[in-house]
Amino acid sequence: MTNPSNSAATSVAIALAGSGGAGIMTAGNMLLEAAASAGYYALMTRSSGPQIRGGEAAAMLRIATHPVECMPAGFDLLAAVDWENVHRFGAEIPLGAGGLVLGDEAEGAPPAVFTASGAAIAALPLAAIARGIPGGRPNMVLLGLVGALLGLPEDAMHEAVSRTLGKRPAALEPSLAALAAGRSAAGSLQPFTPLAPPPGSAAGRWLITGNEAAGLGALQGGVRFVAAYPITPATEMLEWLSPSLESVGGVLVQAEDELASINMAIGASYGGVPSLTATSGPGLALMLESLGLAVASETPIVVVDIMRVGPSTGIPTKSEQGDLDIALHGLHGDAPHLVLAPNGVGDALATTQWAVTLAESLQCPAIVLSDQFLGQARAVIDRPAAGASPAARDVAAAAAEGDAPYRRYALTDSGISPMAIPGTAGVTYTADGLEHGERGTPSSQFTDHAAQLDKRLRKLADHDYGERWADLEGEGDLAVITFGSCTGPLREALALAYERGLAVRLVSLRLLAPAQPARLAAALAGVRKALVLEQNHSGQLLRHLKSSFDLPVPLASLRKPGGQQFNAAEILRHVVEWSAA
Amino acid sequence: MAYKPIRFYQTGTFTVGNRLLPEGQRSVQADMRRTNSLNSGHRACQGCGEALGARYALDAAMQATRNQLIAANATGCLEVFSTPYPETSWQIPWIHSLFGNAAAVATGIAAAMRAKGRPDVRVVAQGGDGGTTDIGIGCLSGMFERNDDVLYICYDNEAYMNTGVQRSSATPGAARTATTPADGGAAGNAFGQGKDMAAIALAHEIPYVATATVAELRDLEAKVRRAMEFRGARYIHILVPCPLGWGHASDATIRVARLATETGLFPVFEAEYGSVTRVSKIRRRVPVEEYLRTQQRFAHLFREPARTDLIERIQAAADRNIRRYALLDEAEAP
Repeated sequence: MTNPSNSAATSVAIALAGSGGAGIMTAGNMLLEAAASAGYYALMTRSSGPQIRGGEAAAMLRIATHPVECMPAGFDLLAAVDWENVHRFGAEIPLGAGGLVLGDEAEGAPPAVFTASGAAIAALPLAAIARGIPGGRPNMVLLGLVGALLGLPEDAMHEAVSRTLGKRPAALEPSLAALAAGRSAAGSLQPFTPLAPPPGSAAGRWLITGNEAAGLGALQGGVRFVAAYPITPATEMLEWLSPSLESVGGVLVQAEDELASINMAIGASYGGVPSLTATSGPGLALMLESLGLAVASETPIVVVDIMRVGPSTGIPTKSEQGDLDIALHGLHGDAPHLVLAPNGVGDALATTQWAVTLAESLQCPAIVLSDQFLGQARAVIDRPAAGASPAARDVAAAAAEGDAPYRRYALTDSGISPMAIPGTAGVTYTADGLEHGERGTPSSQFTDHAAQLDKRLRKLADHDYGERWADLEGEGDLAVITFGSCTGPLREALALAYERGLAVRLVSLRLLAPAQPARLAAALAGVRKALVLEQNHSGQLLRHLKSSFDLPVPLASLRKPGGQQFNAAEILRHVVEWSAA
Repeated sequence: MAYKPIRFYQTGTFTVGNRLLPEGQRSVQADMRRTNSLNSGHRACQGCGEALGARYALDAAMQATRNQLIAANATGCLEVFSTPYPETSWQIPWIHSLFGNAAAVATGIAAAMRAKGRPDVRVVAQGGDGGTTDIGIGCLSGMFERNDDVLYICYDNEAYMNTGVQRSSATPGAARTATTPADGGAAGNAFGQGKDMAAIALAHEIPYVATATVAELRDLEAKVRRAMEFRGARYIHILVPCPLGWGHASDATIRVARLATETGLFPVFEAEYGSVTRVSKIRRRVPVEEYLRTQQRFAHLFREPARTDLIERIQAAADRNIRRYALLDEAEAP
């Protein structure tokens, strides 16, 4: 946030905006890369008009001297190349009272929705400056201007532009000239609080989206086959995985629908290759029948659901945590399975990797609930610690003549029974969706059904999930329980609360199923009441906590539907009110 | 001397319509009473072939049914650009059917009209190539097999455009999409995997099957009108170039569609009960290279080293179409 009394800011939020084709996203990505290479932490989200191409666009960035996981309540700078339809972002780009709205003087006054907060207004002849440079474009002038206002080093800006346009020398030279022209034009503006010096160098950090991180987690977990069907906002994960899988000897197939993709993945896993599919809510709904087959046949499989606003097509480009209910309870029959949720851009890697490991070792489906915000946000993160850890499936060895008959679904103490890969001598079996006995042959006997249900429940219930089931932070006799993308803004809100003398614990559930009631009860020891934070309309996490956990504390709810992310100030306000109630 | 009216307008050309023609020959769009089923103000890209095709098709269907028409629409570009508030452009009863289900939802509407004794109310289902040839083919084949009283229109832009240009089973060989990039292995989409949806419809022996493009809008209108003369399942497959996904200029949509037919890559024909009854002959045959060069998705074929082998393969597919549908007069046939 800008701090007029100090000479430098530790966090600045900037929005770049303009009409379609103005090069806003290009400029936003360059600014993000420049900040990253200069040694800052940063987060970028994007928004665009509903048209498929050519609509107004906005790149929202937060650049800081510390890791950032959410946008603030107010932006410090809105810089636009033009104002055509940009007013539509009014709700998404709230300007702080000390904010600055910067535009082209030829474009007239900025929309009132941005200036109502009392933000200062400045205008420069952006397009005219660009016209003075053959091939120059206003977005590059704006980029140079914003870089100078923020105090980003000239060489970092130069490098970001060169890296993007390096392959197009005809565009590079005018862009660098426009960048320099923008930089020198910044001198005529009123002083803007620049960023404090960066907290180190870019070494050891990654610039990555949550979808890319989830894809990398899948690879590191040993996934070598992915089948999927295009769906917003999961598609980028597939586009990243397609060449990446190929480079490690894996395969990605684009299927004809979600039913085909989940069943291809089940087939590949049955064939012995760790497999995954990625989708969004409507696709997950279609896949539920097949997840039942994976449970019954004990076939490992990972489904990543990048949640979007539903039901139905809903708002495909915006985030919501609305699929928790079907992920937990959507399967038919008694079908124990895993549900996990990453709680940050970087955590999408670790949690997806963990999901692959768990699915493979427990021979069951795992659903990973990411969402549009985590998936499409691009962030500077510290390099995750975990490296590749190919998951270990308990594979049956070949049997010789005279050995006891192979029992694929043997009733072991752990519930886990060695899985034969087709082609292994002496251990042929039928993997059946029909209920079966220990050898896999279909059975309609009550005793077999009860024994196999016990087995499938036991292997999940008795597994030791260690410390990763949740992130537990802070202390005090109050707690906020959440999951997924609400965790980032909650962490920031509770840090602000602590500065004000209000200590509140953070509980971010990473393992949502099987539920860990004893662990959560222990984590809440000494807590007098808890608030449940989630982004959906009906309180799906609240219901889960009430139905699958027997918690010793009264629960209150803070929730709102998708379409607009929680910010820290908003959560802080509610936490303060709730703590006093 | 016999009176002979002087015509100051062109006929037999590519001109879309003319109010001076006799009523039966006029285009629906030239009619002052046209319905504007898909109104202005929607959010399609500049030069969108699908928006153009849908407006002409639906207005023609409205005229043929005396405005007693209900439309079901699969997920896709058409649904996405035409419906979001406040730019909703539909001026007719319209239901979104999710992605793979437009044919089934339309079947249900047709059944309801029959149950209510309203045979005058007709039903159109529409979808893109992904919603038709990939995820929707099961419901569509069922609709054909039961001979449900629905006209299904497929607007084919040869990939999933609104999610960012991924391949579909209608994407032609060698075309680049986001999921068939040119790096590593063979460039562009694999050959021989595309579904010839019109031929699949033909194999169901339904009352009426036709193909059309947005380059011949009068032909498109006439086919929709003809389709509404039948009861039972009908299918029209319309080629609608996509400037964004194909990588051609926004003002080249019509020209690109015309080149698709003039090369023979997209045969234009009509069929009744499983037999082809009429084909649109190619008036000026052009080599496929002329078509391919208009589009960025094929640009990798012409970079050094040029992939003449792939271009020849595409030419062979065009020649096969020309022979199969007798698109040229005997003397010129390859």
